[in-house]
Amino acid sequence: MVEQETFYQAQKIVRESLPILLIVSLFALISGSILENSSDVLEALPILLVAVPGFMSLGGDLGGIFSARLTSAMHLGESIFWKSITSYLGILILSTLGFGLIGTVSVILDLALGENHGIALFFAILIAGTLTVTLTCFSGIITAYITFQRGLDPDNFTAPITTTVGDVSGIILLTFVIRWTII
Amino acid sequence: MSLQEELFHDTKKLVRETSPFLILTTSTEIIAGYLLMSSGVIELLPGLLVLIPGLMTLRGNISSSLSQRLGSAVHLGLIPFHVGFNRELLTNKELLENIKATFCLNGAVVFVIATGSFGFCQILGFNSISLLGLIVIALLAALIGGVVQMSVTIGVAIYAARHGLDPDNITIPILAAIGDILTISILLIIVHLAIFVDGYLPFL
Repeated sequence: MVEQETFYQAQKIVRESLPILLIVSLFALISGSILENSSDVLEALPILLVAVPGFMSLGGDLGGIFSARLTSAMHLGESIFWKSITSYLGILILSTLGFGLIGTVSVILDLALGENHGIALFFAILIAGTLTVTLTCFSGIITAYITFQRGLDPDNFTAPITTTVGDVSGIILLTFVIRWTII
Repeated sequence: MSLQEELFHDTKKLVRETSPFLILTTSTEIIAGYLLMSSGVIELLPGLLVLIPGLMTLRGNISSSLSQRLGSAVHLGLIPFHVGFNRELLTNKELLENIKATFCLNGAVVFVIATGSFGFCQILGFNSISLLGLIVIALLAALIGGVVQMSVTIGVAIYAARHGLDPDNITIPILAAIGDILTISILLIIVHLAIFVDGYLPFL
């Protein structure tokens, strides 16, 4: 009896995932050093040290949810166009919730530390967050589309890419918006 | 249902299912950031701060990919998660292939990341604990974290299947929260262990 081929094969998953994982781990180191180079922002706003881990991963997580929905639709042969629109609208609402929470906590801690950047800090986090999420979702669509076209499984690629784009663009956008609005 | 209603329903379902978990994750991360800042890990074990977050990010990627594949498998009807945690599910070939791949990937990244962060610390001139120490810690962290995250992913898929939720909407925020709690606990355990043995571990 010939063994029936499974849709998922461990060897194929490892072969597709390993190279991309190694590439993104390099970028993880880069985002760490960008953070170190932004010490002027961190010194002006020490509260950011608490907000940054949540900020960076929220962008990646929302991009990940967006792409997970997109790739499921792709596997099912559904319309990618409508799926991306409904998902992006939902993600925007969720990102306002999430970054709003981070912003609120940051403003409260900022006040507790005796500083007063007030509402500007809240909006800086919200704006930078919305931009980051838009970028991660966009990178998710591109990655899913390209890999699916080439007969690869987009599920193996979108998570590492969106997390990395979330980390790198998140830290760049946050420091940029804060330099621009507050400092 | 008209197209508009259907689209509206899809967005609403995403927001309703994801928002509780997202708020949970974000709160966890804020607390994690605060703990990490105040724990003094950085001064105690240099090198680890390069290693552990990198390792956790990578493992987060491995488990997110797993959860995405399982999500797709649910939509394609390949894995019967609704039967619950029993023999029928555990002997499912599609699931077994996914588990096998996850173990291989976890094992492979440990050595790469440990060696990578050792090299990174050497180049930048940071003090770091020995390479063997980094590998042992990374291996322990990967073993504990890998098994926990994989079980959670499968557990969430079962929960979602039984409650009519879309696993695509909820697994990633749950995994992110678990990943953060694991990172912080592993770092704190290692620090306390290092204080406890007071430098007598030859590889630290």
